[in-house]
Amino acid sequence: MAIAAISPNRPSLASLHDVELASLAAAGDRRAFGELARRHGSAVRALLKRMGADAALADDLAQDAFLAAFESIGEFRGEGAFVGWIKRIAARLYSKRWRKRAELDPHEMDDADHGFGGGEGEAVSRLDLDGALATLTPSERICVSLCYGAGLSHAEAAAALKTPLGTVKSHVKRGLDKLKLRLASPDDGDAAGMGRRAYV
Amino acid sequence: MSDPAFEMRLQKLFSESPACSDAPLFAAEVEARLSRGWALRRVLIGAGGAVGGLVAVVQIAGAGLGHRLTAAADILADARRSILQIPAKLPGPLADLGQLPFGSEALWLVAGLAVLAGALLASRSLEEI
Repeated sequence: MAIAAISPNRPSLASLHDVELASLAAAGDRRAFGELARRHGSAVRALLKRMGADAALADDLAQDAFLAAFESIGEFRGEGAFVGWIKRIAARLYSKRWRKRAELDPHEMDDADHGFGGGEGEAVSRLDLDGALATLTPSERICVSLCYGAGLSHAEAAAALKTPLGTVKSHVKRGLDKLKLRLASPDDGDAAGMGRRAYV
Repeated sequence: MSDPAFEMRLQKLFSESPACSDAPLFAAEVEARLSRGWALRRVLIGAGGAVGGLVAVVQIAGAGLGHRLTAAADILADARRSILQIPAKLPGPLADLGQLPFGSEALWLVAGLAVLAGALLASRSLEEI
């Protein structure tokens, strides 16, 4: 790690591991951090869209997340994957914005007919998961995404959203039930069909 | 009821994200924003330093620093004379310190080194604790 930082014959940034790039970035190498942004920008933007952000907001927040990560890159010790770390930063940024929106219109967040951003038509054609997430209420969607996309615990998601833990658990439970029906594989046909009928 | 298999599948689905074709552009924008931030920071730090320096010069000029320095030098000279007269007032062999074959500078040097050694010892002791 340190060798890469001081060697005159430094290998190309693309060949370095995330931890090595983070180490270089911690020493002020903005190009190394740019390589991290190139590698993981798509994953961060995809997570933000899955949480409910539209494309423009996802781009803005993903950039903000990378800038925030650069400021605190010294805190990244390489114990987990860099992409997980940056996703958690981005998810918390989006949660903050979501919270303000929820304070303005609390009913909208529990209404399945009013998504918080996120073009459903675009998402459905992309991946099953995106289409399935688009059927959740904004509250369910953000709770499920925080826990299963950003890797936060229920308690951490509750703290990020400033929402009671029980409420988060309820949203996650309902969201998972809906996703399970939407994402049921053909092999699960009978069970999914029964479940769907039971749900409807 | 929790379904670990489905939850694992969901985590896997979340981890599979489509690669954006504009990833290099996104990275370039992040780098550009970082550079702008650093440039702004440098300008602010430079401006802060310049303003602080200007304030310091004004304060020094307005506080009659020259007179104060002269007074401080007089006080130091008096203190030095007092310290050098101490050996003469001491009884027995200590009184001969004033007649040692080296100047007062050497005494000051030894005293300074003793203070440094004491400070070093104290810092090492604190580290050990």
